[in-house]
Amino acid sequence: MILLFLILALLLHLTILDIFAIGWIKPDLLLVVTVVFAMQKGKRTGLKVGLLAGALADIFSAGGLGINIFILGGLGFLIGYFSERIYKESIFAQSFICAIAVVIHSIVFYVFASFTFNETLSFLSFAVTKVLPTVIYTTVICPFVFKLFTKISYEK
Amino acid sequence: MRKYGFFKKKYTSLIVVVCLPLILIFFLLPIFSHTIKSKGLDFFRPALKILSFFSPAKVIFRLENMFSPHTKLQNQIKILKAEVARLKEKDYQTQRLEELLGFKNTTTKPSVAAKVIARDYSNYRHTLLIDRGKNSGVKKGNCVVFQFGVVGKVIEVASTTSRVILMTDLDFRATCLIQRSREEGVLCGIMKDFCLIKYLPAEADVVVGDSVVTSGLGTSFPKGLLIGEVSHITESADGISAEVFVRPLAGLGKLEEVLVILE
Repeated sequence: MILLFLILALLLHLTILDIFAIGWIKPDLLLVVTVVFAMQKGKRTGLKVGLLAGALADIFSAGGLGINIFILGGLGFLIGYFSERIYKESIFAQSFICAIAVVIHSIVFYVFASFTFNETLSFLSFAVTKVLPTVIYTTVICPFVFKLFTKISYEK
Repeated sequence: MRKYGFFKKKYTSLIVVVCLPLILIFFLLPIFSHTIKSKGLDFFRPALKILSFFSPAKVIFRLENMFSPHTKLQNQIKILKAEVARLKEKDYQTQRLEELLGFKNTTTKPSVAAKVIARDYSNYRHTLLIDRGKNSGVKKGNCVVFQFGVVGKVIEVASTTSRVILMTDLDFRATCLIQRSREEGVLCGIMKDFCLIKYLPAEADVVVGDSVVTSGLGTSFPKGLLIGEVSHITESADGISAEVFVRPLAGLGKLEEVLVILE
């Protein structure tokens, strides 16, 4: 079930979601799925989903394996851990956690890229042109994925 | 014993979260990274090829046809329009392929046409996945072009797919020339719709509109391939060099087919 959900999210992200891409920016669907699972099922499932989602993201992204496994695995665990203390049904809470997850993901990516890439970009430019649009776009889509996930869970 | 049990329960997950990925990143994955990624990409290739049918350009084209004004009497026209749309789509594809072929005929080097089947997962990387790999003779470092000029180069190769880094990606670098004045610099991607030429002296003879071509230095790009046109020029913060921004001629975000030069 988890793997199927992730593969579906990945294929949607890589193909059909391109239609809705603004410039190079589109919502980070695997991150949203990780956040959703972590919030609904807790830290263990969050960790599992995060590691799997990270592996898929790494396969379909340039560079070596590991960086997304590390980021999404860690986020899945941490969100699962802290979500036990918050009201999960609130759309505001879901969107806020999604936004925080995108920001953390972006910062870790920026630090990693600064050490390994040929060129560096100023953090301000990166934040304004890349991170902010991704945060907005991902946050907007997050409640819909939550609703879909809740519906599937109840039907099951 | 109880204390140990508590410690074990509380910190096992934390150790898994922190240590396992770090061990994977630094020790194990670099060894198996290429094999795992190649197998993964080849596994998903059929699904991606089918889903690439829904590329933005094609979907917009279909939507335009779907929402055109229609009446009861226009049903037959609609069917014919759908047929025309299908044929137009074929025509556009043929046109693109002919242009690619035209380019192919101008170069003596062996090359192979490839279809773009996906873009990078990350919003922060500008790379493409193409449907040609080792089996078609593609190698790491091969130059990738379009009828209007350079697109990027191959950075990862699987059996039936390859990953192309676009010249706007942050990790891209190539040597280039200002065609008119023969000033030489290094072209870098800056994660925007244009690239930056570095290491040009402040007094370099460059004007907006100058064509930029590959210099032929290095292993990936043959000399004289068109990269783009100079869009604007600024002075670097230290004042000793010029920062020349180049707009690529190929619309890198909308590519559907590319040509890989195999040498």
